[in-house]
Amino acid sequence: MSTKTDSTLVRALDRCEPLSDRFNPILVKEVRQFLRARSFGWTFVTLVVVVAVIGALIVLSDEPRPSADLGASFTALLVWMLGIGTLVIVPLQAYQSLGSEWEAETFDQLTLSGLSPRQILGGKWLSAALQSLLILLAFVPFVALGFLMRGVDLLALGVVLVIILATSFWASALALAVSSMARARATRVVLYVLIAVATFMGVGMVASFAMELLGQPDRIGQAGFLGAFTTFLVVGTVLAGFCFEYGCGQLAHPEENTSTPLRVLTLAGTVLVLAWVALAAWLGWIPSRAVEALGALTTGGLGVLSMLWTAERQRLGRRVAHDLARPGSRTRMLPAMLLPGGSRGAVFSYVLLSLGAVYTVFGAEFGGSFHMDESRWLGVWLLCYYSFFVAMPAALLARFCQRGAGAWAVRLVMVLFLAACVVVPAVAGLLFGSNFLVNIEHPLNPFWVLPEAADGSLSMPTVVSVVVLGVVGLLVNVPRIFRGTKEILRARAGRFDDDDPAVVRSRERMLEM
Amino acid sequence: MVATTKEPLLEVDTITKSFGRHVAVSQVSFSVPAGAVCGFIGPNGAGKTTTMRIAATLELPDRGDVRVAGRSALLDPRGVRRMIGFMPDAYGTYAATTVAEYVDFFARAFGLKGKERLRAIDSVTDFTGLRPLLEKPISGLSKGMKQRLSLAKTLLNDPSILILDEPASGLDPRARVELRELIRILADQGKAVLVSSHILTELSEICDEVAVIESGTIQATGDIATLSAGADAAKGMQVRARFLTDVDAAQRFLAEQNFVVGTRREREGVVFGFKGDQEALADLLERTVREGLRPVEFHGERIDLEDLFLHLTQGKLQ
Repeated sequence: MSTKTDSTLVRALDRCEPLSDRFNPILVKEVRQFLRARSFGWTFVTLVVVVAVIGALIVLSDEPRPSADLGASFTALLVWMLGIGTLVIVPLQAYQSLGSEWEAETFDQLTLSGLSPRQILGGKWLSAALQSLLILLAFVPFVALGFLMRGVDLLALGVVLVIILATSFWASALALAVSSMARARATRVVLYVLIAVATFMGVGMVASFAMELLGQPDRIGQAGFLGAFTTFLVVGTVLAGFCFEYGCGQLAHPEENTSTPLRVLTLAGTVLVLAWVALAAWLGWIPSRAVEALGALTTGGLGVLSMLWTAERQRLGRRVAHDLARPGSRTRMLPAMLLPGGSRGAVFSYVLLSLGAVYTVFGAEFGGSFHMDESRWLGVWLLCYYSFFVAMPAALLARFCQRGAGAWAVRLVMVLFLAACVVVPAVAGLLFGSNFLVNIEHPLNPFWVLPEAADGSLSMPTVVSVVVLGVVGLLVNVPRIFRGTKEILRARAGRFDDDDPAVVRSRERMLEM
Repeated sequence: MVATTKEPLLEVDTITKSFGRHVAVSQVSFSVPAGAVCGFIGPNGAGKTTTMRIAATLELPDRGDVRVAGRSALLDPRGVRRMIGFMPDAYGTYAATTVAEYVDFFARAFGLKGKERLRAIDSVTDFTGLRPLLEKPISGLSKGMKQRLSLAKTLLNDPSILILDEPASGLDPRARVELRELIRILADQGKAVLVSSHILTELSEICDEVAVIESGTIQATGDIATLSAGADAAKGMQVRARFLTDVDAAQRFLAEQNFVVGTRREREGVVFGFKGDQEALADLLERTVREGLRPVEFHGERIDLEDLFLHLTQGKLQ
């Protein structure tokens, strides 16, 4: 299948026809499209030409014998150009690629073709990864030139390239996840601009880190670098996986179970990150106090992510309920906390954050320096704050979560509730002349409590208050959790909440098949 | 539900769908058996596209369900998607893609591999007459060819049920005739076809049955002959008669007869409404001859799909 205008790459791809059967169909389509589209070609050529011209100017403007600065200057230029290509242009194209499926009204056709959301998003992610790789490959001769100009450490250069490539993959996953959230054109434009700004900032961060590393290549050999580098890769990959799975959930059929894969992946990712940090500490790659800090950071991050599933709509979904009733189905084997629904999401979050809290308490053991500092309880305070600021509003406003917009409104309420809890006591302090409240130093302000806890200077009344907040949040959730569990038990017994005769007829017909 | 001896392949079972406060479809039920072409007719905004999108698993009903060969669109959308081919009214194509690449991509998406994929592509491009255009960019295709391309894509997975939303819209007369022929061939292959169109004269030539929808509710379902007969009985058929003798005398005679309503002169003849059946019409003709009025033309014009549509709907907008 070739046209007269086909490029050599497209023809080469066509020769691989039998092999291409094994590829994701979206990947094949995207590769064909971007190889023929002008935008990719122009980006590719422009980047290469800019590097070649500026590189030539650098070489011509220097002494005949290249100095050490020359190689470093040229490599800095390469890092910026590579960063713009792989960290800005490729993720933005991935964002546009998914958006164009809605704008060009082709998404329905993809859905009807039987491609799963994972195949659709996976194909687009792989395509973005391939574009980044192609850009990197185009830069290989220049990278070699930079090395030959001297002043650049090969290992440091390798580490920088790995970081750029990995960050590009993650940025593409993030761009696809954000793209899957919004279909309205105006919202998409706003998100596009936000992603563009974020990715440009990302290029700046990566470039400055790269310059520091290239300037001091001996840091690679220092203790701690390997631990930090590998932890960075593990955490980034887990977060990218989370973004991908979240995006898949956004593309799926509304009655499908989109919660379980995301929760399973989050659980697995959390266990992986925590296990990796423990292993790195045990190997002596990172200090034992870093285990505690990373445990608390993970717990805090999970607390924020928990807003997603704690504010899910409560109803199980007719399709999931049907799966639960079917003997031998995989859904039937799952624990309730992994099934869709805000109350099950709350249980899942309590379990996950408890895991993080326990890890933070005992994590330092892995580094062989167990201590009884108050800072070890950071995870527990985070759990309490989750219970009060996330789980409690979700329970009180559960009925507004039935639609997607309602769920996002409830998540916004959580943030506003937190802000109000910090600010309102300060206003009250102004009225009643309490410096303690005016300085926002009270248990309802996690931004004061948590740093105090990290310093180990929390007072007992504050500790008790934070625990009370956590218990209040849990108690408010108990009826909701009870209803959610009852719904699962009823579905497993083949009793459903909807009495729609047509669905009952369908269910009977399908059970007969 | 449409009465049929065959097992229905597509069953739309009391579906209701609202968008905000607007009820798009309410309690819509009908079915289509294998090998039948069912015309889905109704004015703009009647709920045709919403019903078709629900049947194609692209929208969820608030109540009710659609079953495809027994599989529920609500509970098993993937199973249903394997069995249906949906050709929407408005659809997009990919930029910088040729006809061959477009069809090839969807063949891969349907899970067809190797020779099976190539056979399917050959089959649908032959059937739709797209083979000479395989290397052409989609952007260069005419509207009719794009409709054929959409049909080719729809047929790739050899669906048992075809749901075609306004497939003839924007096509020239020749392309319409060709599309009509393709649809009839597909029905003859045993596929159930649900097709919506505004061009009722075209539907009447290919449809075995119709479902008439207005303001989101079904007004009538059944085969066209039965519905027409029912409408004839209710509204009466129109009879056109021409006489060699005095036409005024003939009009006076006819106006006095049973079942005759509303006579009027038209050139050398008389046109009148007749509420009786075929037997009564034969009797009237016999009496006219006995009266010596010497009719040279005397025929009842049965109600066509357009009349039937106008009879069954009231032009309500929603």
